[in-house]
Amino acid sequence: MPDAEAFNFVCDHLEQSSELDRLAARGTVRIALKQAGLEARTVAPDQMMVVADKILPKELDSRGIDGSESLCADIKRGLSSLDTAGGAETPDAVFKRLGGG
Amino acid sequence: MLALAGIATLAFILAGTSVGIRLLRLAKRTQGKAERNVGLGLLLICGLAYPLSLSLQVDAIPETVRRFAFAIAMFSLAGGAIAITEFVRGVFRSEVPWARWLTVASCAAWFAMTGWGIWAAVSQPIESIGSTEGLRFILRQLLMLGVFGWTAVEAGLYWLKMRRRRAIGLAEPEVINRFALWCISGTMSVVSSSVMTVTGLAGINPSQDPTTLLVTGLGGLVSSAALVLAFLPPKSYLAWIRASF
Repeated sequence: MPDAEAFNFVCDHLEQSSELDRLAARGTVRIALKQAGLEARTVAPDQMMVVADKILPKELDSRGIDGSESLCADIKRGLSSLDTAGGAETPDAVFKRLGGG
Repeated sequence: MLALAGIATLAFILAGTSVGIRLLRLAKRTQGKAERNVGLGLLLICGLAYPLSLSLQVDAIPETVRRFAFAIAMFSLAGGAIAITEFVRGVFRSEVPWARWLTVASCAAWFAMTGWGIWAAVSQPIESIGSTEGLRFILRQLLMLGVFGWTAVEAGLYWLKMRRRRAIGLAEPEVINRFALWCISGTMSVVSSSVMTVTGLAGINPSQDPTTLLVTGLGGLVSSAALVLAFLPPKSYLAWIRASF
């Protein structure tokens, strides 16, 4: 299963706008996602925005990246333009529905 | 102990049947495969397989009827187990090849077990059809262990993820709790099947062993409560869960 569009978007943005190379950018975002209990394959843009708001700045700071706050603000703006529809149904969406009848 | 086992079995039958019917109604409305599979699985196992297999022990029922009921019970158990397996695969591992192969292998094993059970129902003495000794019983328990073990592991792993999401406001308390309850229900089935398997391997009849009756009885009660709280939760329980997070 390929990585989600939101994940690829953030990785590409980090690679272009910081000193991180492709491997380091993807690794950093994966670590941030793991801390949030999310996966690169299924993360939605709205979930990625929360990660970019609450976890990613600290991860970038710990790697010595300057201007992490403004970098993440740019990322959030970009994520808001992504399509939120589509993708496979996640287990949490199924379990929410199973209890909500 | 026998009374506890009886109450637990009755509770498990009622809880599983009620939840199964509710989820099948939900599936009719949503056309969702997940609710159809888990609803069907619970209804077949709790609503048909358990009560029908119990009829073997009622001497007042004609022998032919008891044989037929046991054959239907084995068929229902296999259908229910396959539906639960497909639920777990479809929800947690829908894109993973090994999960597809595991499900196919599980289907084949259950079909074989059903054939074996129906053969026993037709050709074996009535006293030995539902025997808790021998390879047929052990293999059936091991298959149940596999189905509910996978269920418990996947739900438990996802529950851990959901707890991390909650820390940044990305998960709802009642959904996190539902994963925990489904994991508990699966774990209780694993414990019961494990104890039954070990007892059977030791050459002891599980239905006459106090320890086995105690463990499976308590497991059945906990599993029933978890099913109801997960899929038929009272409003007061949901309010308590929301308040406690």
